[in-house]
Amino acid sequence: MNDKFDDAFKHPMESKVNAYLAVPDPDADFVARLEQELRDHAATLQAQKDTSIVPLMNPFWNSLRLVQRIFQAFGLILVFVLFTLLMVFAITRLIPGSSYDPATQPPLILPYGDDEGEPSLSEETPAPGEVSEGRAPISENAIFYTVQEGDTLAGIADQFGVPTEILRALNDLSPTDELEAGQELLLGFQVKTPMPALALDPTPVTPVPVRPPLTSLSTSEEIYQILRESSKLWHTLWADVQITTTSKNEIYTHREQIWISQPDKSRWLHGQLGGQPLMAQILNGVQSVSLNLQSGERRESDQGGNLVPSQDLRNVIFPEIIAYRGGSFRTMNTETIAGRTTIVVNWMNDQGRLIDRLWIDAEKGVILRWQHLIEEYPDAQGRVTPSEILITAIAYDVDFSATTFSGDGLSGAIFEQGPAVSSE
Amino acid sequence: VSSKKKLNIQPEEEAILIHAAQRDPSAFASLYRVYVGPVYRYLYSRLGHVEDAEDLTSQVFMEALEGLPGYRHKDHFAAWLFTIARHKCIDYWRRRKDELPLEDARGFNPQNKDLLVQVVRSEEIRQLEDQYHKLEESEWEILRLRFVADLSYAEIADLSGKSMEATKKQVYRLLDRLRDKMEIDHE
Repeated sequence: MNDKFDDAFKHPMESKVNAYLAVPDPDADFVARLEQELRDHAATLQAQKDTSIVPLMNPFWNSLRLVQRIFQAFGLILVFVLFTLLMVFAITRLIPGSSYDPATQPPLILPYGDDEGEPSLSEETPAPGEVSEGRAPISENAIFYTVQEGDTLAGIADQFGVPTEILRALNDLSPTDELEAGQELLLGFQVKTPMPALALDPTPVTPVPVRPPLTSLSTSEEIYQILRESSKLWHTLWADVQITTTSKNEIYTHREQIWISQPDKSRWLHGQLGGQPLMAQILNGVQSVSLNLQSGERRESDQGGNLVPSQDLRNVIFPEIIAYRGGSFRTMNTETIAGRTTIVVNWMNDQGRLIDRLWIDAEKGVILRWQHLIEEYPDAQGRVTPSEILITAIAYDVDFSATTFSGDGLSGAIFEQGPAVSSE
Repeated sequence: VSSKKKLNIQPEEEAILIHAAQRDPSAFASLYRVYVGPVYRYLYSRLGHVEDAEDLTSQVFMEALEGLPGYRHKDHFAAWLFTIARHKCIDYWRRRKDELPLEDARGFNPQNKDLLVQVVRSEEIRQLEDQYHKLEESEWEILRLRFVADLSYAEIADLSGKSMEATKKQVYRLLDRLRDKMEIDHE
């Protein structure tokens, strides 16, 4: 009787019932179509998840990392100083009659949440109907809106350009929840650095929820997002770059410098590392001038041209191109490159093979260092990708001097120590 | 004969897939590929209609994708997924309460059978056809989960809230009863 229940035992009726109940398998086209729909839906869900959860988590982890850094860097001395400060803080705050008076002093707000990392709400209430940027420390950059009588979620979504799904996710609202007048809605987060001057950008800017800088916890989708939006996060840029190409027989490093003022002005120098530029190009919205500094050969055209003539450099300055090549990113850690905080990420192709390591500017999305980890990876044109592109110095949103994009100054062009800044 | 594929996935592997999909919804595709066959076949066997089965399959996986962050490893994933599928079926028949469930839904589909095997088995299958009303719908449901959806006894046990041993015994008793009834009819 017992062996009847042994897994190896097959009941004589099993095959008959099996055959009797047998139904066809799903249609292959249907299976593929549904998989695509699920992927699309997953992308939407991920986008909502990123907006709602990650920004709230980051302050906690950031503060943990900060503590760790402090320990590493200064050890016990600093801990002692911090402890003393904390004691002084506690005494002035808690003992009556001390110098701290909450009525006259600005409220003291810890930078990020309380000990649990939970966002704690300040009592500050914004004027009704106003968008306020207060209510730290949920995030210093949180933007809130106070609901008015008669407001609907869809109306608020339209007014601020934030999709209703994202509003729901940000505020933990279920589809059946109704808004009440006076209720505060989290609309999104403002970027820490102000947006670059938008005068040249004719498209109106809607207050989309802007993600905070990347951290080592950022997801692959967040990385793709900042790469796609990167060029919107700066207006002018100057960079000094070393590009190393490895072929079978030699390793060659050259230097390029680029000045860009979006949307249509650029100055580009190309030459040997440790030497002076050999090639130069200027685009100033009116004409393009390219010059061979050795032979003096000069070409002018009013046809425009590439803002960044070298494709390798273009890929790192305008990383949208990278963002559309599929695959996925895995975040490794953070490092400082050219004085900027970068997120180190591995890029895997669609087959999951590790191809590139990128150091992405956490705030701007520009790729400050790019290592190609696969020896032979010629692109569609059979061109060998450089093994490393390294931005050694970079500056965003500086006012370039008036002559920067003038074709006349090109003949004596040299590699600069930094961008020539407007003397105003 | 049947092109039916067993769920060839180890529990550890499945746990990894679930964990990945909970962190990153795009990883749900691999779970989908494991379960799309069983879920579709189960729904088809209950609805007997390709388009409706496809429609409900799509609803089940959409709902599973959205609900996955709330899934806990207490029960088998298959049990969780098939709970959604069963609810979809209940809704489906509630919306069509005027129509009767198609008996064809049990799906004797000649195009999908090897001809020779069909000849050999058709007699026995026809006998089983006669037995259909001798088992309760809920009893056929257990057999469907086992033989159409290819769920393991442990998964069916989770789904029906019984122990694995009790589920196993129940299936074998049902098979015994079918055999006995067929023998009686035959004599």
